[in-house]
This record gives sequence, structure tokens and C-alpha cells, in this order.
Amino acid sequence: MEVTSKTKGEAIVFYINGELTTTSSPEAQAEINEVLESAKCKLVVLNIEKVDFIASTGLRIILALGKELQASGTELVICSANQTNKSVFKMSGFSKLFSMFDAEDEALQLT
Amino acid sequence: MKVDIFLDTLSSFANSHPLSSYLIIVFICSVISHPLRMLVGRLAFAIAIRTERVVDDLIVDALRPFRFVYVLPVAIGFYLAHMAQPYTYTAKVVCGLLFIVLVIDTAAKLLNGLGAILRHKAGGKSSSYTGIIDVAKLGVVVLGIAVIIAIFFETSPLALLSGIGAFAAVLMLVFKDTVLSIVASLQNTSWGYFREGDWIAAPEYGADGLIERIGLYEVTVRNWDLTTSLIPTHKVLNVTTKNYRSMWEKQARQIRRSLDIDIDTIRFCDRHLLERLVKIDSLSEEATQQLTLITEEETAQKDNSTQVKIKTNLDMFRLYADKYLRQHSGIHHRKHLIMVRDREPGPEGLPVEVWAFTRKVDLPGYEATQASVFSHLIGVLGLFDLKVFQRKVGGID
Repeated sequence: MEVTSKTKGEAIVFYINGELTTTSSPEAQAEINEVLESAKCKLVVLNIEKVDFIASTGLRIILALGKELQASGTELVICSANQTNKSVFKMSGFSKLFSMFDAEDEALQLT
Repeated sequence: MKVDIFLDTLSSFANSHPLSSYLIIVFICSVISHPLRMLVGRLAFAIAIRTERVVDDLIVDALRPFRFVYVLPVAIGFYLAHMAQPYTYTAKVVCGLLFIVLVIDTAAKLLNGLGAILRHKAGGKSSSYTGIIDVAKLGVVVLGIAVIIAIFFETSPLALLSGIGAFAAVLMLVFKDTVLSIVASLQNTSWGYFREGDWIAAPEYGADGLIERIGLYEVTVRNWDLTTSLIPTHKVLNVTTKNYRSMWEKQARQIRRSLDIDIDTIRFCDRHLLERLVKIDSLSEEATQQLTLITEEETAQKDNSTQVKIKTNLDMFRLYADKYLRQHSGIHHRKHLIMVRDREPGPEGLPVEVWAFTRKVDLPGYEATQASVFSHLIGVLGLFDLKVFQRKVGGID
């Protein structure tokens, strides 16, 4: 699992590559937090196009991240989820908590 | 009153049209099962996400996508099968088979969840119980298949299993490869040791390439030279020396290569060398400290107490190489090992081994990163007054 990021205007896009398992999710959280500590933005986009599997731990971390960002006035959105992950987000109710987009460009239009 | 009339109407319809009523009831239950599955999933995720415990996460993840909910329409279909005259037997068989398939699926998922919990308790490593879980899953599948066959042949599963037991010796002798292949396939399906598209190396069979097809009897590997190798399925686990799938999953590929340094060029740093190295950003601090030590030594004249603290040009090169790797954009900096070490000196110099992991795992990207690292390191050797050992062949020295 690898996390990379790019700043695009007032947004930071995080690209997650691999699986968000019980083991790798805390690592992803640490890497995202490390980037956000030194950067200010209005929008955080999680691009999960290359994420094959999201465990419950991964969902918990996304929820925690969303709450932290909301407290600081930053919006968290998710983009490019595959059908399986969309189904997981729908089943878990995350699709009602976070805006989801099919493509990164659509998500970046929020800035 | 109106409810009583409605219920009476339903009852009389069911009595006069039992088959249609049965189909309608099963259909309604099937339709309800989908939102019920979503509701069960919502509750399960809510519990798993809100608690910090990992055990419930693992169980919920193992049970996804919660297909056990479909037991509801299947069970209702089974118990109301008497309404499906003259197809009662067919309805019971179909519902029974679906029920067994769902039970096998759920049991296997629960065992997977148990295995995940045991691995988590063992710190993420494989525990000794995982083999037992593997056998348990195999047992569940075999028992389920036995029950299904028993239903078709209208016999007792126990009688069937004991009958199979009686033929076991004959089966093993006559169909040895088939049985071994089935067991290997089940193991692989269960634990995912290898999948189609994985890059494996099995030198015994001349295989080094992508798995094209996993069959019951053989695994087809398309080698990088576009030839094909066939490996018996039951032997793949024994002969496969490498599976590169984890490299793709982790998006990291190892560089482990040495530069052989000419030992004759290794020496202690002197002022002249250090004044050159102090101009290199990554070494300026260390070079400045070394210059201070040299000044102290010159001041102390014959006192050699500082001599041992002065680094060699090889030490400085190793330090430089380490820092170079840690800022190279093509190398993983945090999650994977970066190391530059000396190996045992030999007749071809002193090997300085570089150990790092590239971000690109495809061959062209990996080779480009590796080449850029080593061409740079070879290029800077001259700054440290070092040379790569090269054996002289022929000619005049």
C-alpha cells in the first residue's frame, strides 16, 4: 500500500494504491496526517481508483479523517471508487457522509 | 374488520392457488432480502467502525457481502414447499441445495475471519493455527458436497462418506494426480497463494513469467521470452521459488547491487579532500567536523589520539550515497530499507553494496531508477578519490 499526494490549487489529492487492510490503514492514516500537518487546503480528495479492498478499519480511518477536517473547515471527498468499493460505501452509509465522484476532475470542481 | 376480510381473502387465494401463492411468497422474500442485506451490512459496519477493537472489524470484513441473509427466502421456500404441489420435491431439493451452498459459504467466511483474528493476534504473521483452519475449510466443503450428493441420490450423507472412505485407497491410487490437484486447487482458492496474472519463478520447470491459466491439472506460465511452461498444479507450491505479487502490491522493488571499490584507492581523508567535500551540501557538516579533527591533529603534532576518529574517503562516500538515496525521488524513503554497506573484501576489490527499494516496479521504470542511481554513484567516485576495481585483461599496464 502506497500513499502519494499532489497539491492542485486549493485542494490536496491523495492517491492510495493497494489495499486498505487492518494492517495498512493506520500507515495510510499516518502518511496522510503527515502531509496535512504542513499544508493548508479547503478540499481533500481521496482518489481510491487503485484501491482493491477497504476493510472496516480503513472506513474508520476515513471517518476519523473526515471529522478532523470538518472541524478545521476542510471538506473531504472521495473519487474514482470501483464498483465493489462503491457498494461498501453505500452499505456502510459513507455515501451519505462524504460526497463521492466518479472522476478526480469532478471532485476538484468543488474548489 | 377490513383486516379480517383481507386476511380471509389471502387465505382463500392461498388455498385455491397454492403454487402461485408459494411463488409469490418466495418472490417477495427474495426481493426483501436485498434491502435486508443492506440493513444488516449497515448495522455491522456501524458496530465495526464505531469501536476501536480490531476483532469485530475482521469478522465483519470476513462476512462481507453478507450473503447469509439469503437464507431467509431459502428457508421459507423449504418450509412452505408443501404448497408447491406437484413440485414439492423439486422445491425442497432446490431450496435445500441453496441452503447448503449458503451454509458452506458462510462457514468458510467465518473460518477466514477466525484465521484473520489469529493472524492479528500473532502480530500479522502466519500462526500455527492457520493450517488447522485450512483443514477445517476443506472439511466444510467436503461435507457440503457429500450432503449435496446425498440429497441427489436420496441417501444418508454419513453412509455416503463411509462409502467414499471404503473406496479411498482405490481412489488415491488410480486418481492420485487428480486428488492431489483438487486438494492443491482448494488450498490455493482458499489462501490465494497464486492467481492468474501473478509473476512467478519456478526454475525447475523453466518458468519465469506471468501465470496465464490455473487449471485443475496444470498451471500455464507465459515466460518473458514468450514461450510457455506447464507446471502440474499440485507441484506449483513446491517448485515455485518466487511470487512477485507482493512486490506489485507494495509498489516497491529491491535494488541490491554492489560497486567493487579498488582497495588501493581507500585512504584517510586529508585536508585537500575534505576542502573539496565541504562544498557538497549533504556532506558539508561532516566534512567540517573532519577538518576540525585534522586541525586538532596537526596542532597536537605527534599525538595520534584523533587519528582513529578521522574518516576514510570510503566512509565519506558511503555517507554521501546514503543521503543521496534518501532524497532520490525514485526511491522509497520511509517505508523500506535504505542501506549502503561494505561487504567482505576480495580479489576484486571491496564491494560497497547498495540496498534500496524503487517506487516503480515495472521493468523499464525499475531499471531506469537503478541505472540513474549507479551512474550517479560511479560518477561521483572521483570526487572521493576512489575508483571502481576493473580487472585488466591483456595489453600493457
